Amino acid sequence: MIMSSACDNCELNPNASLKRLGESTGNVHYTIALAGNPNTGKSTVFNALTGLKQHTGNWPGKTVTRAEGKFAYQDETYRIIDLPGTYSLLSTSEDEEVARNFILFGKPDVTVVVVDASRLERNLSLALQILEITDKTVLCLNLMDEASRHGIHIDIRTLSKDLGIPVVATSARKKEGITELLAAIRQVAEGTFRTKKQQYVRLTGDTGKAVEDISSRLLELDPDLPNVQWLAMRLIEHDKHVVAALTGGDISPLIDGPHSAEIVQAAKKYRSKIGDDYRNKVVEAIYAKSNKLVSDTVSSDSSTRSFRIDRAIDNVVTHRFWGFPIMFLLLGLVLWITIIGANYPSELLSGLLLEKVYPILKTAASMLHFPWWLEGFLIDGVYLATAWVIAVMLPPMAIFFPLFTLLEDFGYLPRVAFNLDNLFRKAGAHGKQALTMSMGFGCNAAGVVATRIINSPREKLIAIITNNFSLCNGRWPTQILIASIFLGALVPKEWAGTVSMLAVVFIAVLGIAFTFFTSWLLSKTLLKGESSFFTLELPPYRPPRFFQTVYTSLLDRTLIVLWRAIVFAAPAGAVIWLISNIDVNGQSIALWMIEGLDPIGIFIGLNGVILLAYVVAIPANEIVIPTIMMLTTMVLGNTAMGHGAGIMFEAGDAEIATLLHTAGWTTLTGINLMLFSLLHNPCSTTIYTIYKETGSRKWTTVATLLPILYGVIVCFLVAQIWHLFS
Amino acid sequence: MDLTALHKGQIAEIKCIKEGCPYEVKQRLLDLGFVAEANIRIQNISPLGDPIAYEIHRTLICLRHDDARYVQIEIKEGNDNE
Ligand SMILES: Nc1nc2c(ncn2[C@@H]2O[C@H](COP(=O)(O)OP(=O)(O)OP(=O)(O)O)[C@@H](O)[C@H]2O)c(=O)[nH]1
Ligand SMILES: [Mg+2]
Repeated sequence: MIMSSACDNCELNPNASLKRLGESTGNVHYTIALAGNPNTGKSTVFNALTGLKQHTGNWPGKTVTRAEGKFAYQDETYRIIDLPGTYSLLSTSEDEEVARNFILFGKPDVTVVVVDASRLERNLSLALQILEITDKTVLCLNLMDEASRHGIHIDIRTLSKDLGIPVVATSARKKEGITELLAAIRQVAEGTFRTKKQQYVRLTGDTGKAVEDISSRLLELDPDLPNVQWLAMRLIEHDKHVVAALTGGDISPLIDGPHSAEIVQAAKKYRSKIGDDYRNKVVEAIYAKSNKLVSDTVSSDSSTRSFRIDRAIDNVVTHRFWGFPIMFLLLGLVLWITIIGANYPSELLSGLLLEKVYPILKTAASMLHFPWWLEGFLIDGVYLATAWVIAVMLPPMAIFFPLFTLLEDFGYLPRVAFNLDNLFRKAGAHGKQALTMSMGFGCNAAGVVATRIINSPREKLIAIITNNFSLCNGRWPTQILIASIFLGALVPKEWAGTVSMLAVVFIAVLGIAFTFFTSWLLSKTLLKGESSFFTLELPPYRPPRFFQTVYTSLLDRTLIVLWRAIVFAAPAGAVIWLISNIDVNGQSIALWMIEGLDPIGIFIGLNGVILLAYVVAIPANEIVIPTIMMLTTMVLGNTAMGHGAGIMFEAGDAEIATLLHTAGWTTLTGINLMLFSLLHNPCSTTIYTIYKETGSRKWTTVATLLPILYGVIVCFLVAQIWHLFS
Repeated sequence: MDLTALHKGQIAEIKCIKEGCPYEVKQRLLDLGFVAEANIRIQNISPLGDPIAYEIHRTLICLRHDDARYVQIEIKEGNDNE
């Protein structure tokens, strides 16, 4: 082997030899695990090393499943695993088991513990637990930039000496210290840095004796066990995974069934003797050690400005009077910017896609002598529906998601959960549902995925089923258009804008009310139970990096969601075109369906066209309005406005208003359409995501049908009341 | 006394997690550093009065009233600010 030269560790040189390999396959020399408390920057380190784009966010629990990537550094290839953040390895919650089982059974060559340099006490307690399992560990002191802002100084050499492992200071977001981290990882992987296994946690009294006894019994069977004290501790606590692994010979080939049964028995006896106090003693010992390390190596000044700023912001955003108004104001502001800002690019896009590209395609088709049905199907059906979705959906998403991500990176979202938790508790749901609910305002499918942060399965299901009541981006355009045509028109011109805006906000708030009501209803009926244990860490505020955030959230979220919508919109366009152009017994299928649905529609204050539009537009809410207009024109037989059967078209607000009034729409139809747009089945993307997340047909069906039921009841009631007064 | 008796402005020291605390809750509290001798104080109270954000080990942890009552404390300094 070539001797490593001094240049290997030189700051100026080796970064050039880092190759980010993303998810590529090939031989791997070493496996690296990234572990640490939630929200310490593990995913940020992961991204810096692999060039991948794991989602990061300033709230604990952003990463919920493990992700893998690769990089090459100085001729060796490394596989690296980004684990979910955990507070300890002693507990038995789902996310912690992913992390713990990997460190224990995945046998990584190096475990990098990423810690928050400003909050070392709690972070080191996890590091110490990991060190009990394996000393092939590197401590990555991340968020150093923040720590120095807070006036915290850490004696890195002493810490490294005390722990017996390499300690590297990094600011992963700025990619500072990554080179040194790579060097340390390599040294530990290759064994050039001899990590010193030592007894970090010292237990005393009965607890100490018990652990010592079990340890020595284990060592009798296999003197080379690397993590014997930790094993003993887990056996006394009767950790099922560890017991199973020991019995199955996974921990040591020298220890098998009969031997282990004896030890497991002995451990059990100790447990009943020491009782509940055992766990206390273990954790106290860990914290005592970590406090000692911190007091030996860290000096800090807690009166620095940055601390005071954090506290001042918290005092305002969680204030008894201002907390809620500020929350609604911020939500309103984000929506307002989205709505106003999306207008112009939306017009631009639809001008381009519908007025420029569409005629070109038509000309091209006729020049190529497409048969009328092929041209109709492809261009009037598939192309137009897709173009509509892009024109209507892309601009609001491209504005909403970055704005939302900025709030998320700043650290505001956990404060929303903090403010709203009491209501969720009373509804029998989880406080973190506030986070997934807010995500739902962007996209329900994204909101459903985010429910993974909720540990209790019952409360996770509640969060999934109710997510649809967050009015998603795809539904805002419908709300705004209908509100301005039917409600804004009722008042003098200067008030029209305000009235329609308020109407839309009312619908959004009504959605939140339905979220609480349904959560409550479910926890009293189908998903009976009390609100479970809730803890939430409020992260420090972190000034977001504006451009980086905008850029990645555009790529990561907007394009992915858009792509999925397009995938579903194209077939919908095809269906619309087909049902409008295939005749059965003298009229098109669409007309037959509208006639069939009309009585039901009228009964609940809507009409057949709207209902059919909602059936056809299951793939994406964005195409509801164009579908309604196209179908209405067809029913009226008014070809002066439309382009022909089954063809979506762009029309100004005034034209749409005239068209709808001619078709017999009233203010009631408008109001009920807004209500139905809030209360109907989730789009197919969301339904599919719900199925993937729950793995259950039953709950997917409930989540799909419950909102429709609400919609029908609410629209019916409103219609009845309306008829009573008019 | 337990954590729910703590007022804003006071600093307390944690004594232990009380008997009768459900196992799952106790696990979590210990994981978050609610161990004997740790200092704790109230940082923020949610607008609806519950939960409360406590500062412990330099981090902010929110607990609901129902869970906070399992934490046994002793006031170290400061008096009521309310
Ligand atoms: N100032 C600063 N911020 C950082 C640094 N590293 C990460 N962050 C930010 O800290 C937040 C958390 O980062 P993540 O990478 O998502 O943390 P994580 O450890 O993967 O979190 P979980 O997946 O929830 O366990 C994000 O907002 C990052 O942008 C750093 O070195 N300096
Ligand atoms: Mg992460």
